[in-house]
Amino acid sequence: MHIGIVGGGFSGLLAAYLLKKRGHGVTVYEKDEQLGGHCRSLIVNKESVELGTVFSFNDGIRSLLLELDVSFREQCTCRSFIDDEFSMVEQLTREEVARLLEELARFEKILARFAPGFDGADYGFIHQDLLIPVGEFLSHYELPTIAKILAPHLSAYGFGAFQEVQAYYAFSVFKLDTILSFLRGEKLLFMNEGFADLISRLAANLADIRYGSAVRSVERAGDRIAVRSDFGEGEHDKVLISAPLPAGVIKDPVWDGRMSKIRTNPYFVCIYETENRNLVTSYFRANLEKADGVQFFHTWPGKDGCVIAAYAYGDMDPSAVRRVSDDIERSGVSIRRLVCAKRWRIFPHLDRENLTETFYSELAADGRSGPIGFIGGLVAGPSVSNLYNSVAGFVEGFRPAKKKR
Amino acid sequence: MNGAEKLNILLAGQGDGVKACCARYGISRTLYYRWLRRYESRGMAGLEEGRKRFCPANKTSPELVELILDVVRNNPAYGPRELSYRLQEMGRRVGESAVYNVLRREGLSTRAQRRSYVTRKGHKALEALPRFDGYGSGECWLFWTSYYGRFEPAGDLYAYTILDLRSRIACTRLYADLDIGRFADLLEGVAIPVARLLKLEPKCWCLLEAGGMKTVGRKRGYAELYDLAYRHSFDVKLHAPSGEASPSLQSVRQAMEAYHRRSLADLLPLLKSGAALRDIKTRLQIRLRDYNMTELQDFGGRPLAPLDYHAEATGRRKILPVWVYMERDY
Repeated sequence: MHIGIVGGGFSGLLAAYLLKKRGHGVTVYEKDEQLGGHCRSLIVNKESVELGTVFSFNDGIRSLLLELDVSFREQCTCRSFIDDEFSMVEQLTREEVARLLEELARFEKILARFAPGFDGADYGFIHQDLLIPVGEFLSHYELPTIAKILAPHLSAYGFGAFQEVQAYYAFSVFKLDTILSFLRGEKLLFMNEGFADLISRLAANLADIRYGSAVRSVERAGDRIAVRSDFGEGEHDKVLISAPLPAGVIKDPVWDGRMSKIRTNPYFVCIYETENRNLVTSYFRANLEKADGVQFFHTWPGKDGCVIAAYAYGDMDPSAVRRVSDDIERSGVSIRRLVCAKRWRIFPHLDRENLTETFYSELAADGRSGPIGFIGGLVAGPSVSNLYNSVAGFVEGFRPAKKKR
Repeated sequence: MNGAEKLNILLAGQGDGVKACCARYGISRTLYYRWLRRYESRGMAGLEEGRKRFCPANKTSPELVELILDVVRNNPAYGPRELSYRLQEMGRRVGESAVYNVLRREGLSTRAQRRSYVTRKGHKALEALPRFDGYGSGECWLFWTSYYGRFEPAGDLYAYTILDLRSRIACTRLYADLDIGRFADLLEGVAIPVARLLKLEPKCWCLLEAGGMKTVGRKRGYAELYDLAYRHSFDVKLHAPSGEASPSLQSVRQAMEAYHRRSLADLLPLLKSGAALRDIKTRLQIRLRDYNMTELQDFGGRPLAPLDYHAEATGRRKILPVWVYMERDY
């Protein structure tokens, strides 16, 4: 079988790598001149710093990292919270934690009722009750403390406002395990040379990558699928799409209809070098759900000052970046220089009008059996480890290619 | 081996037979009975005194060693003669041969060794202990392990403790083996997140009684600890005396013993009761939460809990990660 893969980010390359290992032919189409998508690292002050919006938990993906000989470390991230007056506060007080533990026990039972939807790494069947905004859902079940810890994270990672994001997305991204893992301060995975290292090692195992080839059409050609890009075309037995495409590119009405419903959120990252030596990853409570206010910053160490990446929600323009810088300085960070500001579009999702109970389950079934399929961030929650589980699970469904005599 | 460890072995021998015990610890029965005899005649004092080592009266003082190493850090290219001149400029008369001896003991006698000592994030621990009196709240952390014996089905159990000398903020976890890497786990999982939110700024980490640790992998362990410190922007020096108890160790032993009495006293009975290890770990976490947060201790006449003492001494807000109020597995 020969498979075309649209998108050379982590999911696309991983699918290509795993399929090639099973003996299939693969071609990757990447619209930029460089691979990686959100897995992009910069060298700042001798450290590898992530420009993208990537993070990874500690499960499943380790085997891949060992296989590719990627140098990684597990590290706890300390989180601090900053209030309206720009001083540090506790995430929850002792009394709130006690309430939270009670609520989590209840929450587990409530979620169990909707269990089939949360089984795998991918989005699946969505119970009707979970189509409402997460804020509404949690207040209906009287879970205010969970709301209090979930809201900043949803907002900070660019999933959107608490009164808009559907409960299903919120609980798929922040599964009970994930919430607990955040609360317990468990270790996350970091690549010593940045996530870009993982990308180049995946790419090193692939033969056919087309760079700078934005895909212009995906259409049936007999029993095969033709992919046309600016500079050429290819025919494949199956095409896997791992990145959002403009409406009309996929010539199949059903798949194009699905693609055109998928929305993304604007989000931007500012990387700074600072004078401060001992900064902790900090969340700005006052900016919760506010467009272009800094949501949080992550820190990397440096000999003469930390490097920080600050994340904000909304469209990036010079005044928005200035507001981010101002807020950071008000919290006591002394900025030496702005290294880079970059806009991203993240969290592919459907809005309230379009999301139905069976959208993802039908899409998954068609993707497995038919000649076109969506993979990666289009069908699964965003952490690199979750995408790994999702893509690896999808590829499991392929029969190994027959050996040619 | 120190007295407490010898006593542990003696007790283990009384429990499950001298022959098996000696085999497990790799000592001869002759040695076992020699210790037993000393213990019966003179108590702990009999066990404490180890091999008499010859120590010259004019041995370079730890404080001077520290100064020499500081100069090396700034001038890795200097040999003993230049270092001696430099020290003279600083008003300390140290002969060239004395400097050479210090460099040799610290494994810094070649220029290449000194260069790597300075440029690498560090993998070497200092042999000498620091002078403990110069540190403020949060600045000097003591690391040690205590052996609790063998329990079924958990196996051998060691308590790993990190204690901040001044504020007495402390954490302990139980592990089934002796490995410096366990301290990295304890740091990463507990001590560092708390320290970073409370703005503790450790300057020195002292691995006490590191003698019991396996020498294999020790260098890797030190490198791991230095790397952790770097990752969290701590500028620490690691001290790990390998020899007999030095006099300055005696000055902190009191603090260690006080901690044991206060917070680990009921650990042994609990272990002996045969409770599940997971429950014991949970009990320990709760116990330590009370120790750090609520139980009042005497700080120079003022009754305070360790965390409050630190907040007061440094004028910083008391902010803790959520998990300190929860039970966690490890």
